[in-house]
Amino acid sequence: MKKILLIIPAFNESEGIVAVIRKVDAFRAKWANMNKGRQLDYIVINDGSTDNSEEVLLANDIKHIELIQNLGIGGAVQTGYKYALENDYDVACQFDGDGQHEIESLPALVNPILAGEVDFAVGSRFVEGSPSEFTSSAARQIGIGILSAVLKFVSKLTIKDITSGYRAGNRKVIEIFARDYPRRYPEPESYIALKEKKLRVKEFGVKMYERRFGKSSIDFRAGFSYMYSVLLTLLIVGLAERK
Amino acid sequence: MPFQLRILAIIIAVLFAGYIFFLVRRSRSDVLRQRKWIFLSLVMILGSVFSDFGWKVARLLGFTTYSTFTIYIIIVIILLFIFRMELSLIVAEKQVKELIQEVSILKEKVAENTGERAAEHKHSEKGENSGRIEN
Repeated sequence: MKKILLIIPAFNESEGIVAVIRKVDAFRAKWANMNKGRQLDYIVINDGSTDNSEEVLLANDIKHIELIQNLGIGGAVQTGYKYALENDYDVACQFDGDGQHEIESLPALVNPILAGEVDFAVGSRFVEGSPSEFTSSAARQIGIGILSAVLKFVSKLTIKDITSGYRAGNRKVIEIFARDYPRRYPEPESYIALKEKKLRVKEFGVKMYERRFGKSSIDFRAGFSYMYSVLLTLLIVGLAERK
Repeated sequence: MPFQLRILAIIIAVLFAGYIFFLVRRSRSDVLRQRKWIFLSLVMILGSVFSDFGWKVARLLGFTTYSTFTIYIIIVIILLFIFRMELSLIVAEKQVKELIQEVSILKEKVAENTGERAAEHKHSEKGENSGRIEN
């Protein structure tokens, strides 16, 4: 039996988390019929939300871990990886709790891992054949392009949708990320750790939507801070690894 | 270095060291944490007592006044302290993060076990089987 875990980080997502989980549950029922010998579970990581997320999760009997303090997206996702490691999951997949990710795209990420083709699958809006119509704003796309170019320069790794949070990893990845995972802006930086361990990382087309509920953690002002921090991290960590 | 300034520097250094000893004795701090500040007090006292030697070193390094040299040395030492404190903070932050994660996972486990036990109890009371459906 192969065990797959969906890690769903959530911060102040009380408005939409139930709808997201209902879709996930509907997909799980379909999955159970179609994939014998593959168990799909989920765990919501409520990252110290200040709204009534916990009440909503409890009232709707949604399986979750209640972080006793807010740890940020990196800390929340890492909690999911720790949970996956402790509970012997074979594949862990990050899945946003704000309705941006299409659950029907999950097989596109999980199947290549279970087939042993890759260690880490990245859901992308920008690779050929991606069913995603939503590709983000022009400013964000420029930022993503710059970060991808820098990642390629420091690690020789081509990831077009470098900020995508729809990603899945096998047991090796679970072990690495459970031990160490960047706390802030984790997606771009985490690729360097995978490259260093010589893991196979590949992008696959998935469907994503514009954020349906809640508020993005990166607004226009925070965007500059994000770019500066991530560029600096990629350059320092990436060049240090190269040496 | 003017005599008045030397006396002032010594008084400040002694008061500073005295305050650290007071904190340690009252168990509000420990020697391991405060030893760098004791070192700084010592540097201030030595710099004030042996100011002639210090002045020679300052001239050798191209400083035009002893005060500038003193301030420069103290700033360098304090910068090193801040840098080391930042490192300690990063370690502490990581430890706190680990603790939060572990406690939260453990709480989930406890809640799950408690729920399972309650369900089992309910089932046994009703005399039902607690079957599990697997794929």
